[in-house]
Amino acid sequence: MNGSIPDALLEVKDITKIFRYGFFGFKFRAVDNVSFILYNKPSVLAIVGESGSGKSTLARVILGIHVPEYGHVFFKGKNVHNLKGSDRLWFIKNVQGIFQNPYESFNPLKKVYKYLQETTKNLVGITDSNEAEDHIEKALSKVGLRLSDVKDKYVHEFSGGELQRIGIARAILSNPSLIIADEPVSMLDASLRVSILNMFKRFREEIGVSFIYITHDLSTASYISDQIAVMYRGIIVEHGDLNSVLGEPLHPYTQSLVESVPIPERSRREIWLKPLKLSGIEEKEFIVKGCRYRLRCPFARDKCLTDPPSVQTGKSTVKCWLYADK
Amino acid sequence: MSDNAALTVKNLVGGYDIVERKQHLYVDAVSNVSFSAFKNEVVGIAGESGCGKSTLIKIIYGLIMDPLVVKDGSIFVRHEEKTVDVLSLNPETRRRQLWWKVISYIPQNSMNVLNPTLRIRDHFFEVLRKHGGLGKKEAKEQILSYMEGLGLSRDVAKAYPHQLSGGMRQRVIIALALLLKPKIILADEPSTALDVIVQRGILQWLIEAQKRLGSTLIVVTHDMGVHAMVTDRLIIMYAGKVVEIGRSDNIFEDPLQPYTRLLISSLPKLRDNKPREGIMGMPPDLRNPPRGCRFHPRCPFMTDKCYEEPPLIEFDRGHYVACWLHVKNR
Amino acid sequence: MKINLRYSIIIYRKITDIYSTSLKFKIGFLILLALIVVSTTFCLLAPMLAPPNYRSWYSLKKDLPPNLSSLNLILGTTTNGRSVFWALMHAIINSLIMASITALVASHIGLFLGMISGIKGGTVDRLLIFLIDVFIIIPGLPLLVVLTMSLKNVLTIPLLGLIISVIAWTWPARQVRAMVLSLREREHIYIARLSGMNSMNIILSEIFPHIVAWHLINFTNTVLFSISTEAGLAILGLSILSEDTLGTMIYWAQNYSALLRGKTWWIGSPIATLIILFVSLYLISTGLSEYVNPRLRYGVTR
Repeated sequence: MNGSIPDALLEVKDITKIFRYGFFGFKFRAVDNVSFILYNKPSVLAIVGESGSGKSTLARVILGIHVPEYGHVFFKGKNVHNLKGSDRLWFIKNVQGIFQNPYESFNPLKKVYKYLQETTKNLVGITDSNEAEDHIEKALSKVGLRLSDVKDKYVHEFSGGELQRIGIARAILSNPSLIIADEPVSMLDASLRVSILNMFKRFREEIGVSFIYITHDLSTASYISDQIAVMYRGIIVEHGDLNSVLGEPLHPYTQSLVESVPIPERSRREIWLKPLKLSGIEEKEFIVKGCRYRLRCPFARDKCLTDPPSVQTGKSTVKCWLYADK
Repeated sequence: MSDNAALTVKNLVGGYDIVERKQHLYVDAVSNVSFSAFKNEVVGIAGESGCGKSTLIKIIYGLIMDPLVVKDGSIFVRHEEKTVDVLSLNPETRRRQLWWKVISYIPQNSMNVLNPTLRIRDHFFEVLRKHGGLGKKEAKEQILSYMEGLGLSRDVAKAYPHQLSGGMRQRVIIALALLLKPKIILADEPSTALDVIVQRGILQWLIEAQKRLGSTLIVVTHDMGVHAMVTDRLIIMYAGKVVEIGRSDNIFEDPLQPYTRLLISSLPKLRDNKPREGIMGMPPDLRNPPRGCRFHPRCPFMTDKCYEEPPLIEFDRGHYVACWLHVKNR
Repeated sequence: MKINLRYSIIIYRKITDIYSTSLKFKIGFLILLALIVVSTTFCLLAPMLAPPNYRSWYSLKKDLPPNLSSLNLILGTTTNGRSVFWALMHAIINSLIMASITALVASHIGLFLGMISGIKGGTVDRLLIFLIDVFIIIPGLPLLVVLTMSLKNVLTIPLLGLIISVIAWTWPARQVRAMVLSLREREHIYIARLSGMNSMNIILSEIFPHIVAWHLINFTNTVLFSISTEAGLAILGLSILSEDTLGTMIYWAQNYSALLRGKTWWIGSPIATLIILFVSLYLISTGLSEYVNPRLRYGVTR
């Protein structure tokens, strides 16, 4: 089965990923019926959600690491999970990943440079070691590192920031069209984050690579993205371009989120200190029938016991009964 | 120590004695730190990884275990009408007299410190029994009404820790810390692992409790957003040194120290997309810190003078800064 | 073949690394090495130094206590008129050969099945787990008793080692599988895949190096397990009674009530050797375990 949309770079269609726990196979849907499309022009889509929202699982499904129970992922028209052999290599060449923990992204027993070599050999096809070195050096300079700083060193000899940069260099070696970055700056110091984010912005302009930036931090998401998708317990509750979603948040969860983000500006204090009611013992919301946000939503009604539909209003798509009655 | 001060730290020097590859090294984590925290206020201690804020908090509480050592300084606290130096007491006295009753400590990742085999209400019994000297019967009613007063239902009291969400566990930890009405509450990253919305709820709740008790709340976190929302005064630390102290209003409006300024300006703000710059370089290795001002290798305003350590001077009423840029007469 | 070479290199490097880091390992290893060297030397020299028919009974005067007059009598003689010393030397070698075979076969079966199970997952994993659990549940010693009794006529030292490996492979398999499962989700495996590395490459360079130390621990423990199991079988009279092993020496000594009769040198020698052997293997195993603890490995205190 091929993708249906002509100039889509990435088409994610009705993806559902189910995990089983324990002997009796207690199932839960980590990602539930998620769909979106990224078009061919370079852009940054931020997927924002808290831990447990399914955003990391979604990233891994897109990268082909997890196989979804339902739904398909099409990259440039080809079904990602059906690729074998050289097709699979073609996919990896074009779609790369960066992960959250820089210290876990590389095997502590190996020299970090080895990964750069392997990528160059397998994906770029350069077998001559000198040529490979040149290619790697170029990529490293794009992230502000020198070959001499990186060669021959092991993981523990680098700082978190440096390792993350090396990870990014590795990801751009094959000149991908899409990079999936899963919380790439969460483990870095605040003052370092912006330089990495600036790098992403630059790559988008200069190399023309699109990003899917996954984070729980709305502030960094707003800094670099064109579009935002907000995830809650496995579903995308709102999806639209940056200014629409942040300026006029439609879904009650997005509204709550935007209001609750602490901002380093005193003027915000008054709004932030407005009393917020927290729920009691939070039940296992992923087995909840109907809208997953129902138990915390101030606007919950009887209708919310059934799954809300996706509604397109203006520039955003939102999954909420409040907007479905039109 | 002034009458209004609940806690005064004076010239505190502490760090870690470690052995690396058979060499004895000292990590200078808290280097000549002095500040005061007053009654009924929320003070924030801000800084990035390696600045020493967590170490500072541990020392203030008196949780000094190998390889942590205190080399110099005093920590003054008011206790029973007297001023006491926490460091002068032996650990046993600290534990019996100060902990939970005068000073309470909420450690990092504390959501996971609850005993998984005890019900929540039994945790409260333990604290009351060990530190409040109450028997089980008297304790029971007190605990239930205390919990209800804090908005924790009876269901929570009966539950085991694993049945509660992270946010709920954090509230239980805070409730435990506040149980014996301490004068000083030390919270180390009290909400880092939590959902932004839950974080807001919990911090609001904590501040409310602080106001009611009239205590001093010291919040340690790297999240400047949290400091802006929550604190009255702010202490900025870098590489073991205090670089700026002042009212939060003043610091966010006009940060004096270059590090503070660069730090705040490097933070992406919601809906403000203007390009920002990070701070070049990395925090220094505290086994061998730079001479003079510890920020100078990364400071765009660095001059030769910076090889000498700048004093912490009072630039404006209540606003202190350690930087040669602001020392007028030298 | 290239895989075998890579595999051997990884193991060799690991052992030398651990040898230089861990004192316990070093001591245990040296003791074991000493035992092996001593017994091998004497066994090789046996044609020259030993009495020509050291294996046959009544070649020497029986029940002689230890006597420094000649090498044959250094540990005394048995009630069968044999030199305890020469019997012991051969016993050590035989026991170690048998145990090595068990360890080689069992730990590698365990390694192989554990890795397949962990990496493939799904139905393959469930089948293998079922198989492993079946073998764990079946009582080991009775199974061995049945096997040794039925194969009594063709029993040799290597075959005995093989038989014991029938029950010794389950623990390594479970262990390796657990390790692989935990490693599989680590981010560096994803990065390796995203670097275009193929599965074999990933197994050898990403997964295996983390397992090597455990593999060595399993190997060592299996040696220990095998020797003690053989001793147990021997005491029941089910080992190869015509050969000298540490177990059979004890059997014969028991059979002639050596302890009760005060011929302590006869029963004492194999037992003392067993103790030394166990201690050295234990030290090796503990040294390995300490090495595996990541805190110790990276030498950083926090």
